[in-house]
Amino acid sequence: MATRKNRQPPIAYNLEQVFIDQERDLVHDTIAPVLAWVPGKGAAKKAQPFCFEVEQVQRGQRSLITIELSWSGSALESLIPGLRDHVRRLQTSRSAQREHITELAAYGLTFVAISVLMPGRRAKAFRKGSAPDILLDLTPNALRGVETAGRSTGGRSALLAIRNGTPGTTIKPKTAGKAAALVARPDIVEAHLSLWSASPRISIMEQVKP
Amino acid sequence: MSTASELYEVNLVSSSKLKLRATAYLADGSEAAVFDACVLFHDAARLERRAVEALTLCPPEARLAGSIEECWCLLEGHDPHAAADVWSRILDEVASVTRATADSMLARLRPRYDRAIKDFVGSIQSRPVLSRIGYTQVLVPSSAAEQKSTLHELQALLKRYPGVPGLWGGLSRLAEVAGNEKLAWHAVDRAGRLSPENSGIRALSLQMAAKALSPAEADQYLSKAFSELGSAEAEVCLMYAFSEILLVERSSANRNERWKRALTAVEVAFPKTHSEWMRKNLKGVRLYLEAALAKRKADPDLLYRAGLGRLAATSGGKPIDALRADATARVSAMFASGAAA
Repeated sequence: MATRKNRQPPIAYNLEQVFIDQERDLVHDTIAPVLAWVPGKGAAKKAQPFCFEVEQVQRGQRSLITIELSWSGSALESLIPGLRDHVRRLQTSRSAQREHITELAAYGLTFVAISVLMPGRRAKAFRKGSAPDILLDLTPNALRGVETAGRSTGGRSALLAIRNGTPGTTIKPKTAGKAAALVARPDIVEAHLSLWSASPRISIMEQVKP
Repeated sequence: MSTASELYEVNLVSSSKLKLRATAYLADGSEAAVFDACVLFHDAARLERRAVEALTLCPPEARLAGSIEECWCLLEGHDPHAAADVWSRILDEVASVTRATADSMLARLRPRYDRAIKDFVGSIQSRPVLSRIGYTQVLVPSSAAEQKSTLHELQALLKRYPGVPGLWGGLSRLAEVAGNEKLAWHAVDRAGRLSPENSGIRALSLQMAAKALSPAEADQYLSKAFSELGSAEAEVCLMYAFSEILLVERSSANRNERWKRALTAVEVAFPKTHSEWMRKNLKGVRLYLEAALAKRKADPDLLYRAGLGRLAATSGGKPIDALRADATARVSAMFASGAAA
């Protein structure tokens, strides 16, 4: 990780804007999970804006940016009819699958981060079986994209464990770091990491390649 | 941008939307939503394949990435059976890239695949009746008690693996034999949604529609199939004919129109068929329909005249029932071998 650190002015972002900044059809299914996942539990945590401390690393430069995320429930409801009920189901239903809510919320927040931190760039496709998850350029053997992950808790240390991998223990197998995996891939020419923790609200956005 | 790369991108973009929607259904977690997710992941897997096939000069890494994505989609769609087919292809494609590239590209899929297959094999081995079917290939046992236990084991397995079309197809056959036509229709409909390109499932679904749906619903289902007979496989045409005959047996209204449509389906099927059993079966159905339309009683030697002497010698009852039972068993076997291949 880079050592120089600059604090940038906060950036306010309305979630409705992501429908303009990114492909509507890709964004659509991530919105309810973002609304269900970001506020967390407890009334004190539900006040907008939701401020994410984003550690951005680009070409060896590290900076800290606060993304102040807010939304209008009614504006989003007009874009996605039935959204409020869907969010409520995700928060309260016993059948809801938490890991998929986290996964989709991280994609949604990555769409926000691409819009804010890589202005003008748009996600084109989405992939699950191999990195990177979100593709900005689909050219075979010259892929450009963003690898994403989310953790409900754990903050920076949890995100660094995703970035760097973890040594094996007696109960948990060793995990490979996402950064090294992206660097090792010859068919990827540009790769970013987009890692999100809901509590505390922290993110790492790092360009790992080139 | 060339047409090939445009097609490549269009397929990948379409697949991406389906995968995100499917993941949202998985997040919902209800039984119906999880099944819908399975359907979308299967659709996405087909699009991933089409994307790679669109590229005339596909780099080996892109080909491998396409297969990895296809395999992952099938695992997410709770279909380790189909994922295993793709895994074979992946092992071939790995030979075209360096070891380091293959390892980095498979880092996510390999452990997931290994776990899924281990779980799937364990699930089948823990169910003695299904385990036995794996060896004997006899899906419908002769005793009612065994049929019941097979049905229960299949239903239990489908709770874990709702994305395997072969399991739904098997459930449909067992439910049909047990006289539960609603369940048989539900199961074959689900198999068809997961695998719409499987002609065996389409063929069987026509017959189940005629048995399980109301005449109005069945007509709606069959009229769509009738309009597509020109591009349908021979087995679909044959089972369409049986479906119209079944509907005449349920209600005599419009029987001449039904028989004529059935005869059209038989004539459409003849030039498409490549198997001897189907040619003979079609001949038998044609003899039956010609007699019906001429208001003659069906020839008792109809099966012999169609070249189906053995069937005539071993079946009692009406010749048309023997033809239908024979065709259903053979189309089911075709589907089962297609699902297993």
